[in-house]
Amino acid sequence: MSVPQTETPYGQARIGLVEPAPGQVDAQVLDVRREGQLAGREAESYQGVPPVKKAPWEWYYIPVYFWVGGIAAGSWLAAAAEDVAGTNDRGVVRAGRYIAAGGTLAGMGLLIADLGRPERFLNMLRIVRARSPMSLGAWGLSAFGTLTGAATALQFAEDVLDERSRLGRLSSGWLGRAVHLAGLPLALFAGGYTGVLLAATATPTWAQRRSLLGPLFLTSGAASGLAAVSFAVNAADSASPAARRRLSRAAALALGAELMLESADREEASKPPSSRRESNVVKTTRALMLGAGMIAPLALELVRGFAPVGKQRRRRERERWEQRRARGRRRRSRQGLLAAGLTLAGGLALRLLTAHEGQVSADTPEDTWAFASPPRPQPVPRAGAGAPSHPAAAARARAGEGTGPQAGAGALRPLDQSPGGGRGEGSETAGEGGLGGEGEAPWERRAAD
Amino acid sequence: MTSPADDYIARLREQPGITPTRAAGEPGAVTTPYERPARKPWIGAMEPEAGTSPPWDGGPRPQVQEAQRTAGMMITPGRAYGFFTDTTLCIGCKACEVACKQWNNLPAEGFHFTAVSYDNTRDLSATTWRHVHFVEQFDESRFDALGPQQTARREEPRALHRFGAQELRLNLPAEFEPWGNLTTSEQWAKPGQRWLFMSDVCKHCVNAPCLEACPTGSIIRTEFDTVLVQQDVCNGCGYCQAACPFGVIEVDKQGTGKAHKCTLCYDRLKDGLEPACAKTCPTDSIQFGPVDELIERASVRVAELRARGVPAYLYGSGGILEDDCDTSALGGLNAFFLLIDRPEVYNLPAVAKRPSTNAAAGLLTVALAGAALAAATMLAFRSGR
Repeated sequence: MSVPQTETPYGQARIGLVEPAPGQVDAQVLDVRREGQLAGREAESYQGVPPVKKAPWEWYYIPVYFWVGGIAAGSWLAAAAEDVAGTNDRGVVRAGRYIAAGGTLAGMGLLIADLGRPERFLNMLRIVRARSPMSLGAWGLSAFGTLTGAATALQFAEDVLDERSRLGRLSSGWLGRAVHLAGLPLALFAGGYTGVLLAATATPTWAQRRSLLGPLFLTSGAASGLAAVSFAVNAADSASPAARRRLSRAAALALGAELMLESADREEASKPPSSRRESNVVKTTRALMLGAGMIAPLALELVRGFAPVGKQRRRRERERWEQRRARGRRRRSRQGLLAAGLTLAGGLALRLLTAHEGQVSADTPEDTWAFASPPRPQPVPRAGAGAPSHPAAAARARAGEGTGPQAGAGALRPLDQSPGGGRGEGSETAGEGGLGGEGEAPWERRAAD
Repeated sequence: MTSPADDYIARLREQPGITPTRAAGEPGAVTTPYERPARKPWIGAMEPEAGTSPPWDGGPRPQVQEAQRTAGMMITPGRAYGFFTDTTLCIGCKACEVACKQWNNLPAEGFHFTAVSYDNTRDLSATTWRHVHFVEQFDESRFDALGPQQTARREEPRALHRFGAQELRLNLPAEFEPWGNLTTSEQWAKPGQRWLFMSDVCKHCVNAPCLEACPTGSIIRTEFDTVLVQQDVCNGCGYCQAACPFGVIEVDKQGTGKAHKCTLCYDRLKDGLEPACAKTCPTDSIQFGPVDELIERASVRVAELRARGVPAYLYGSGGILEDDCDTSALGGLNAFFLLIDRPEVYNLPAVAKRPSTNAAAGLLTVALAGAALAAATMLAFRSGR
């Protein structure tokens, strides 16, 4: 018999002697493996040992970093939007800049603390690797951190020196705006790459949601960042009522988008088998996150941002705020603080839950099997007339099975199917004949189930 | 300065069968045709290639390698090397695990008894780079000799695990003789009941997800086409561990704080020695060699087994005789396997996915969502002026 040559990724390789003809699936061989030996073993893994390893990250470092990094990104978005599209309210910009810098710094601290070798954190900046979200993230976060540092320096100068000093004017003028605009894409990247970081792993539930986790984390980060700025200005009474209304509008939009993405994400996340075995603690936390962390603040922010307010009332609110400022007093808006606090808590819960889902999913073999399995192909029945190409099939044909459609069906049965196995028609012809006889090796035989 | 490998090669040269026609280091030194050891009879005529120079840093280049005696070939940088693990030949002796631990100075992981299996090391880890799966495919009739009480207990292996092996031994019925009943072939060799062994190892994927995930560049592809973690660079971020679709690489959180996995004995390859596990394997279930030759050898073996009715196939050959699984996303695996049951039974995914492909899709959606979000936020701030 001639030995066919086949082009392979490794060059020319000789294929074995009994390779079936092209297009003709070696149905027998496949069938034995699928049916004969595996009946009832569909959910089998190796002693329940997880086939993939879960990410070795501590929940109090990496998910918390995701949250803090998202807050930094969202607060930068708030500062940039107020500068570019709003009225450049210094209270909002100041809060946005400081929170972005603090969040980035804290995030970097958390990231470094979670390294196995924290003293080698600078090794992250040895190379750039487009295929690795973590490499891109390290560079993006470094660049974003540099810009938040610059913005904080400007803001510090503005706060400490004078608003009307040269640096102060630069800070609220073109230089500040340039820094904001330059940092905006970096902020959006820093807010969203974390979801992609999770998706580009072998953890089934994360990889399954590859196109959703990034946008979900981004919108949640934006909502959290806007909420953090809103919390700060509401607590310190440092922004004008109009600016707060703008913040609420943007937060409502971000929360709405987050809610939509979350519902789409839930649909994907409910596919892995592990999602059907969630503990009550997780279920309760998720219900709280949805209700109190997303829907409730969304309603509050919608009212605060979009409720129709007359011109006179707006003017009155502004006058009262300016009077308070002039007297050095401040009035906390409880409603604003509540909405912002709930959003922030919801954002943290989202990160923690997503991380937890991944850890459970990686530990559940069925998740990996469901994620990394081909659609089971149907064995192709052989045409009855043709002589079986496989020697085992030929042997079976010699052992007494007839030809025709019936034999074609027989050829698809496991080699050792015993009578009464209950696997469809024709099982009575295969029990005694075929290869179930004397000369077979022990590993070829499987007990009927 | 002579390295231990130098001495070894010198001793090797004194042995009959390997006699250099010219002294090592002389230009054009060629070894005599290599006589294959009898223990690997199917290795084709693989004489050391004349004129190829083995890897050597400084000193006269040796013209003989230990790998010639043990694996029947010279190890030359620039070729792709790997393992072919034929699970039908594995007897589960775990010599490869031991050899790996010894050569690489890997610590033991303590004495654990799983109580549901004879395999007590369970899986690959930062300090176990070879691991032999014991797939025990037996049904309940195996335990008939234990009496109904034990049979009932056996139906709940998890519960047994909870109590531990100690209690299992103490609660055996009085008439039960610990070994006498069980070791007879009548008791064990029931039709359709079998052991499957597989010596698992890092697959050294062609498109290695760990390498693609590594943000420090610590994981590299060597001159032998293997995947190696540079221990002086790794900072233990753990992203490779999450990315590996086979659960191989692991960060040693309690120990070094760095990621570890099989190096395919990079240090041995450099000195012309076959990897420790392949060298020690008493049945040649683990075969080391150039990947293309291994695939050729494996194809013949699959053909032989299929001719005998064994449903053999390859896992990780990059599409060749790989009919119930798909590793093409990873471009094939340099360490591949011959299996006779579904991949899941050996704890391998039927379709090995490449996590880094998710990065492009994810970043694209993030870019779109980011643009939309920025625009919406700007509009919201604009409208509220």
